[in-house]
Amino acid sequence: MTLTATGRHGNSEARADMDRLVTASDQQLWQEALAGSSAAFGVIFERHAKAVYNFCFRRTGSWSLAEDLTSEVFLLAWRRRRDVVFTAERSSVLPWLYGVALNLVRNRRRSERRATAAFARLDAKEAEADFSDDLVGRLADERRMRDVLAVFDRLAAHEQEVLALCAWAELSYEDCALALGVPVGTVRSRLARARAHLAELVAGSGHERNGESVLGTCG
Amino acid sequence: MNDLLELLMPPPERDMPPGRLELRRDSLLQWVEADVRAGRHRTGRFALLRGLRVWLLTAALVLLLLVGVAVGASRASGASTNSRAVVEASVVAAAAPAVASLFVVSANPRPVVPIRVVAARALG
Repeated sequence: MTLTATGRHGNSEARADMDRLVTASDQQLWQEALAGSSAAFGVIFERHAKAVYNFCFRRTGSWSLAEDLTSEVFLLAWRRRRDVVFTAERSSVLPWLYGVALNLVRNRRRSERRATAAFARLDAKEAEADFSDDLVGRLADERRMRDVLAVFDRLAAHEQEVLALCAWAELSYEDCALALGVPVGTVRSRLARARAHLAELVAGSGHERNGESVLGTCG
Repeated sequence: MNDLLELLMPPPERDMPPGRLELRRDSLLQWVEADVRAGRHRTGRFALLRGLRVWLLTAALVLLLLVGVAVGASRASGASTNSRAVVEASVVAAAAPAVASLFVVSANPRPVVPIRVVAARALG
């Protein structure tokens, strides 16, 4: 009887602790993670994994690669846990995580350019059979994203990054500056240049401004 | 700007395939817990080395101070060549802990493992 009561008490304590973690801010969770609480880091992962996963997909055009990169982002975040920067408004770690993701994507692209063998490995990964229900949808996503990235890749790298953060991840200029580690003014100027280049690309392509014509095989 | 970005509209967001998020989280947390344990171990070993380094440096400084006083005293009193040799030997003996402390300083207890290797080990 006593054991059961203690067990129940222990369970309720664990549940209360988990409830507290779930409602805590990123900064509070990070402090607990620094003190050695892996559960706190797990809550941060659950809170931001989807956003990081989709951001990585939009930078790579591959869901499987995005999944690997998401894990790498959090591993790297843990290793650099003392360098973390939170947003001023909501104490969110997400913009900093986007910055880590951008660096990983950049490094991966660099290494891909150096070694053609890396392409073979990636292709093999993409060809892995996956019989999940949403496979068709995911393949369509990847085709569409490849088309989008084909246009996107014609911009300079820093313009792509600022557009991805401000337009796709919907960060404010301040949060975007935090993610990139540059002043807010630099974000504004890069965004202006990206907009001008994008307009030139659209005008140069001679297409109407609608998704179907510019992106060709979209949809 | 918005009409331009509509051209580059990415597909809508998706969750990871069923079970993958949990799998990734568990792998990550296993790695984090192992790292925390290893970190404590490393910190303990590092503290020991740091203590040894401080002890050796302190001992070296005290000995050098004493030898300096002895050299000054022997010169002032015009001591013989033999006693000077003894003093020089003392200087060498005093310098030994300082040299040893340099080896302790250069001992880095933290293993340097590339993130990709760590990730591959953690995630299989």
